[in-house]
Amino acid sequence: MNETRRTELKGRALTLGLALGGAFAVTVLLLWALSSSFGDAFRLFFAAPFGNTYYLGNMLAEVGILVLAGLGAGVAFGSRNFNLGGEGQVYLGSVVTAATCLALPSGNPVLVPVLAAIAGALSGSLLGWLSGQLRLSLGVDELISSFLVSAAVVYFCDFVVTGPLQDPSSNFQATGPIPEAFRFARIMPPSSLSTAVVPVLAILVLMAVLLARTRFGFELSLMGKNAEFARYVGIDQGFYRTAPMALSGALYGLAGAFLVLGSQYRVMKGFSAGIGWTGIAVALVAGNAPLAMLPAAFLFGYLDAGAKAVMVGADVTQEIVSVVQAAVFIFITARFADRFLAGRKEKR
Amino acid sequence: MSDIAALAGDALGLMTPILFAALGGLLSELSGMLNIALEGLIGVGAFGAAVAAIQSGSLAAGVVFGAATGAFVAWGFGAATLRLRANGFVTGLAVNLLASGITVSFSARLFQTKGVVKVAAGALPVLSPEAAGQASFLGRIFLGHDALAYASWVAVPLVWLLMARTPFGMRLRAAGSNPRALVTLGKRPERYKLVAIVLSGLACGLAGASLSLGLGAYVPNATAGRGWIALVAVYLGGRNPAGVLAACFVFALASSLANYAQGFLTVPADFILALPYLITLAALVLAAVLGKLKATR
Amino acid sequence: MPALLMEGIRKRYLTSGARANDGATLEVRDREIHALVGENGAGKTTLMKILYGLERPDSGRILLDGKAVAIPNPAAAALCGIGMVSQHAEIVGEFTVAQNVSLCAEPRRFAFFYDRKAAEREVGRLAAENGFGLDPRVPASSLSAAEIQELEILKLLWRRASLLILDEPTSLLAEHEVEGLFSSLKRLRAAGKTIILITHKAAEVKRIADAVTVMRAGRTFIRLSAADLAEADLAGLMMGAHDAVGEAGGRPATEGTASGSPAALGTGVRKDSAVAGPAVFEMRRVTVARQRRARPSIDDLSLAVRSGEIVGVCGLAGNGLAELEDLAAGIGKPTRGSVLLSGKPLPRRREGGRGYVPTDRLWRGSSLYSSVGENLAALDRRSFFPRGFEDRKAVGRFVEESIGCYGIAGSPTQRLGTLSGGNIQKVILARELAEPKRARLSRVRAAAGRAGFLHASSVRASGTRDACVEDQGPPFLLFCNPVQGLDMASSAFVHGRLVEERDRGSAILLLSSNLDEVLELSDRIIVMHRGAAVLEVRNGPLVDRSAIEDAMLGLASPEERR
Repeated sequence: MNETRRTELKGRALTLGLALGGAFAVTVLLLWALSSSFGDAFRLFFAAPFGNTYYLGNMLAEVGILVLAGLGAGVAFGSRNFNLGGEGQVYLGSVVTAATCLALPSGNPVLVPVLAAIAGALSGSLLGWLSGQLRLSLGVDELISSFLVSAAVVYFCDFVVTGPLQDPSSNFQATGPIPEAFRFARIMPPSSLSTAVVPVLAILVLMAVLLARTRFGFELSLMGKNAEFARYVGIDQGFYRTAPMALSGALYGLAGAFLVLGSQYRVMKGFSAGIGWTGIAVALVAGNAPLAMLPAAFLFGYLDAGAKAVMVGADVTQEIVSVVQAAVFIFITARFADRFLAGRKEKR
Repeated sequence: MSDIAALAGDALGLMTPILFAALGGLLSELSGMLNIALEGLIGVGAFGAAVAAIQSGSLAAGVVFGAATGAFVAWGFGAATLRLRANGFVTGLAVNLLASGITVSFSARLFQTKGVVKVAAGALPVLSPEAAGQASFLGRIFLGHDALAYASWVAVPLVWLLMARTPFGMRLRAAGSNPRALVTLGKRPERYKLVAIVLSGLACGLAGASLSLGLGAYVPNATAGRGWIALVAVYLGGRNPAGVLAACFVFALASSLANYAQGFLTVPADFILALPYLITLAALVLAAVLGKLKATR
Repeated sequence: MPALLMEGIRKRYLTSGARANDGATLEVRDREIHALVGENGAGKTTLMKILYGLERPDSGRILLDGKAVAIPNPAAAALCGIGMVSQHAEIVGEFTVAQNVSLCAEPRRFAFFYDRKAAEREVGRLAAENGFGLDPRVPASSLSAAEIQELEILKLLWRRASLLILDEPTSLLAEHEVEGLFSSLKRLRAAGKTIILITHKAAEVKRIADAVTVMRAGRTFIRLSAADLAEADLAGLMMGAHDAVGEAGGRPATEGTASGSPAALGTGVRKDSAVAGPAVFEMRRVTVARQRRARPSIDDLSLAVRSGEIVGVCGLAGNGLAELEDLAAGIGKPTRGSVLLSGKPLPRRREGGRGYVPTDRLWRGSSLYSSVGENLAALDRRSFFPRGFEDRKAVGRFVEESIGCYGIAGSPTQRLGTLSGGNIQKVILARELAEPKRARLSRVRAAAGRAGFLHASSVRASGTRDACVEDQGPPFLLFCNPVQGLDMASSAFVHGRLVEERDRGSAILLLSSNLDEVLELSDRIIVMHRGAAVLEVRNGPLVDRSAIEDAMLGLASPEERR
C-alpha cells in the first residue's frame, strides 16, 4: 500500500472516528437531557440491544433492511444523482409486495414471493426512474421531484393500507397478513429476524460485484467522480441520469419487499417511516461502497435498537435517533468536503 | 360569489407560513446559498414558539422565540456549510432530520406527549372576526386574519426594499450572482451568505410560529411539506418577491380549494394530504415544459 | 523615484508546484503607461495579482513612492490607490452601470438606503469626464465588451485609484474600440494616473506604452523605454527567439535556440516530410457564435487533415483555439458549417478511433480521484468489458504495458491526482494512442495465424520497445497544447510519440499557442486570429517564421488570408 493510499485511508478513518465519537457524545447528551433516569437510559441504550434475543434479532432484521436502503442511496449518490424519494419507494414496494401476495393466496410458494419481490422492486424503480427522466427531458431537479413524488406516494400508500387492503379483523391500521407459505421463516423467534437476510446478503454481494467488476459499475463510478471526464471518454450522459435512479428505486423497493416477506408479514401504516432517510445516512457513512454498507447499517441499526429499548424502559422518545443521525451527517461532511456528494454545489 | 370570497380568504390564511418561508428561501437563493432546510427550520420555529408561549404565557414571546430558534438553527447550518466547508445538501438534510427528532423528543420531555400540545394562552388574535362573518366581499377576504398573516404581507415589500434599494441587498445579490465581483472589491461573499441564511431561518421561524400559535397548539409534523412548497415557490416566482407572493398564493389557493372540495366530494383524507405535493410537482413540471417551449421558439 | 517598485517577487503555487514568479522586478514611473508583456504563462498576471492583493508573494517587496507597503488583500490595495481590472470582467449583469460602479462604495440616503439618483448622477459625471459614453442607468448585461471595459475603469476611478492595472484589456475588443480605449488611457495619464497594461500583443504596446517590461518564465527579462522599441523585436523578445538583448534590430532566429524560456523547445525531434493520404478530418465553413451581439468565436473556418500528416493550428489565447478544440472533439456543435470524420458527421460521443489529448489535462482529460489503471482503461471500455464484465487480465496487461512503454512513474492502483503533470500526460497518451483492443486482437491473431502460431500472446509482456511499436494508433488524433507545463524530457517524449503516430498513418490535428512546437512538428501550419484562419502555409526549412508571428499578432493584411 503506497503512501497516498495510506493517507487517504487515515483521513477516512479519522472522519469516521470523529463521526462515531460525535454520535456517541450526542447520544449521551440527549439521554442525559431527556431521560428520567440517566443511568438506566445509558445502560438500556448501549447494552439492551444485545441483552436478549428479541432486541438482538430485531436489530439484525433491521440491519438487513438498512443494507438494501443504503445500497439504494449509494448507487444514486455515487453517480451524482439525488434520490430523496426513498421513503415513498420503500413504502410503495412493501404495499405492492403485500398486495401481490394477498392477491395470489394459493399460488406457488416459491414463485409468488419472488414475483411479489420483483413487483415491489419495480414499483420503487418506477418512481426513481420518473424523477431521473423528468430531469433528463425537462430539466426538473430530481432532488425536489423525487421528494415530492415520494411524499405524495406515502399518503397514497396510507390510503391503500387503511382502505382497500385493511385487515377487517384487526384493530391496527394494517393489511392482512400474507399467507404463511410465502413467508421467510423466523430464525430467532419472537424477534422479526428471518431467513430474508440470506437474499439480502446475496444482493449485497451482487451489488458489490456489479459496481466493482462490470462496465456499468465502472461508468457509474466515473460519472460520480468527474462527469466532465466521463463525457470526454464517451459515456452516455442521458443513460446515467435515469438508470441509476431506477436502480436506486428498485433497491429501496426491495427493502420494502423484504420488510413484508421477512420481518413483518404485513404492511402497517407508516411502518417503514424513516428508512429512506436512514438509507442516505448509511450510504454517507459507507462512502457509497457496497461492502461497507454492512457495518454502516449495523451502526444505524444499533442506534435504532438502542432508542427503542430506551423508549420502553426509560421514557425517552425514539426520535432521538434522528438527532443522532443529523449529528453523524454533520460530522461526516464537515471539514473533509465530501466529494461523493460534492456534485450538488457544481450542479448549481 | 360568497364562496369565492371565502376561498380567497381561506387561501390568504393558509398562505402565511408558506409566504414567510418562501421569503426566507428567496433571500437564501439570492445570496447563492442552497437551502433545502426550510422544512426543518419551520419545524423548530413552530416548536420553539409553542414552548415559549406555554412557559411564558405570552403569545408575543412565543413569536419572538420562534423566530429566534429558527435563526439560531439556521446560523448553525450556515456556519457548518460555509466555515467548515461542509456540503450544503448534506447539512440541509441534517437540519431537517434534526428538526423532526428534536421537536418530538423535547415535546415528550417537556410536555409528556408526542402529540398535540395546546397553548394555554390560546391562538393568535384575528382582526375583527365577527366583522369577517358578514362584511363586504373584500372584507371577507382581507379581514379575519391574525397579526402574523398581515405581517407576512408587509414583509413582501420590505424584502423587496431591502434587496433592491439598500447597499446590503445589493451586495447580497452580488454574492449570489457573481461573488468574484465582491472579492475583487475587497469584500467576502461568505459573510453575506451567512446573514442571508440566518434571515431565512428567522423567516422560517416566523412561519413556524404562525403555524403553532395561529392554531393555538403545537401539532407534530404541522409543517406538512410547506418548506418544500416554499422552495418551489421561490423558483417558480422568478426569484423576486412579487413573483414569490404570487406563487405562494396559488399554492395556498389550491389547498383552500382542496379543503373546500372535501366538503362535498368524498375524497379520502390521504389524497387531500398528498395534494400539496402533487400540485407543487405539477407546477414544477408545467414551468419546465413552458420553459422548453419558449426556448425552442 | 519610481511610483512603483516591485523587487524580487517570488511566488510558487502549491497546488501545481509551478513557480509563477521567480524573482521578478518591476519599476514603473509616475504618470507612465507601462506595458507588462510576455507569453502566456510568463507570470504577468500573477505579479499583478500580488500587487493588487489577490495573492501574496513568498518573498520580495513592494514600494510605492519609495515607501514599503504590505498588500494582504484588495481592500488594502484600494487604500494604497491601486485598482485592477481583470481579464474577465467581474460585473453583476443584472445591476445597472451605476450599481456596478458604486458597489461596496455606495452613496447612501438616510444612511440606510442606496441613493440611486446620486449614484447615477455621479457615475454619469465621472463617465463624461473621462470621455466614456456610458449611460449609468442601463443594465450591465446589455453592454458591449468595450463598454464593460469602461465600466471596470470607472469602478477604479470611483474609488480614487491612482495606479490602474489593466489585464489584457484589448483581448475582446474590435479595432476601433481599441482606439477608443487608448485615447481614454492617454486622457487618464494626463489626469495624473499611472497605468500598467498586461498584454501579449506586441503591436499595441508600440502604440500606447511609454515603457515596457518583458517577462519570461516568471522572471522580468528586460525593461525598455518606448524609444527603444521596434515592434518585431518585441515579438521576438517575448517568444524567446533572442538569447540576449544585443540582437535588437535584426530578425529573430528561426529554431533551435535552447534558452531557458518555455517557448523554445529544442526537443530535437527530427521528422521526415510526410506522404499524406486522403482527408480523414474536415471542418467546412464552420462558424461558432454563441451570443448574438458578440463577435463569433470561430469565423468561417475550413480545414482538412489527411492521414499521415500533422496540421498545426497556432494562435494566441483568446483567438478561438479553445472553441476549435471543443468542436474538433465533438463537444459543442457549430452554429453553421459541418465537422466531418472520414466523411461522416462527427459523432457526439467519442469511441475508439478518435484520440483526443485535451488542453485541460487535469479536469477534462483525467479523473484525478480514480486510479491510474482506471484512467487507462476508461476509453476502450468495449474491449475491456466484453459482455459487460471486466476482463481483469486484459486490463492488467494493458496497464502494465502502458506503464512500461510510456515510462509512467506510478503504480496501477495509485490515485492519478498524485502523479506529476508529465506522468498524467503520459497516462493520457497511453490511453488515447492505444489501438482499441478488439481491433488489435484480431489484427495480431490474423498475423499470428498466418505465421502459424496459434497462441501468440495478444500483448507481449510489459515494457519492450517492440510491443510498444506494435500498436497501431487511431486514424485521427487531436492534440491540444500537449506539452504545456511539462519538463523537457516529457515534452520530447510526447513529441516523439506524436511523430511516430503520424509516420504510421494517423491524421493529426495539433492545436497549440506555442509557435515553436507547431513549427517543429507540423507539415502544414494554419494561423488563427480572432476566430478565423488568417494564414495557411506548408512547413519546411524555408518557412517564414516572422510572417507567421505577424499573423498570430494580427498584423497580417487581409489579402494574406489563404
